[in-house]
Amino acid sequence: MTYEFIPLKEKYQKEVVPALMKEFGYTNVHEVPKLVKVVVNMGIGEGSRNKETAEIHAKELTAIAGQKALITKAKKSISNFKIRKGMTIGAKVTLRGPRMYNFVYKLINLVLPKVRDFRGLNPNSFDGKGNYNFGLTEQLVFPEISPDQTKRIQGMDIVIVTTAKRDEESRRLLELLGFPFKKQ
Amino acid sequence: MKKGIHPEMKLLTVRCACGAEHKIWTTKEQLKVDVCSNCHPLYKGSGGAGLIVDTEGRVQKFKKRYEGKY
Ligand SMILES: [Zn+2]
Repeated sequence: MTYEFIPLKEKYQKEVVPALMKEFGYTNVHEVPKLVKVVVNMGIGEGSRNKETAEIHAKELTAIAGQKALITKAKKSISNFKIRKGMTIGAKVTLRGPRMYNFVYKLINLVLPKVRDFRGLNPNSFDGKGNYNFGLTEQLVFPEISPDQTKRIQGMDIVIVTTAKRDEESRRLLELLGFPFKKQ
Repeated sequence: MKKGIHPEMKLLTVRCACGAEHKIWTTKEQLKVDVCSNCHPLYKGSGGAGLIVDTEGRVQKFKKRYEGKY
C-alpha cells in the first residue's frame, strides 16, 4: 500500500478540522480531535472455539482490514465461560494511519449501508473518554467477504479511539467524517 | 508495523449499483457493491462521506463545462 491517496484523510483535513475549530473554538490545529486507532475484535463463541475456526476468521479479518489479524488467547481461566488460560478465543486487528482511514471510509460508505435494516448508529455508545464502540452482527457486510465461501457467520466489535477528551467532541468528529448516527 | 506479513492492497474504484464510485484500498481484485452511502435512504442529507465522490464527479463536470472559457 503506497499512500498517494488515502480515503477520508483529505475530508478530515479540509472539512472536518476547520468545522471543529469553529464549533469548539480550538485555537490550535493540534487541539482538534482526530482518529488514533480502530480496533476490530471477533470474539468466537463457546462451542466453536477452536484453532481452525479462529484461523478462518483471522483470515477474513486480514482480508477486510488489509493487515494481518492476530489470534487472541485467553489471558486467564474463567470457569463460568468455560475458558482455560491460553485457549483460542478470537481474532483481532488494530489499525492506525492510512489503513485506519481507509477502513473507516469503507465502514461509513460501503459496510454500514449493507447492514440489514440499518437505522443508524447509536449516538450514545461512547465510553466517556471520547472513544466509540459498536458491533456488527455478521462479517458478510464487508465487500471482501463472499457469502458462498463463508461457512460460519461471525460478528465483530469495533472500537474507534480518538484524541477527543469529551464524548461530545468525539461524536461531532465522527459525524463530520460521515458516520450515520441515529437522530437523538 | 512489521513488513512482509501483511496482504497486498490495491487502490480500486468500486462502482455501486447506483452508479456512485468509491476509491478504496482493498485486498481483492474486484468488489461487488449493491448499496452505498450515496443510495442508502438513511444517508440522504446526512453529509455522508459519499459526498466526496459526488463532489469529485461534479468538479470534473464543472471543469469540462468551463474548459477554455476563462
Ligand atoms: Zn450506491
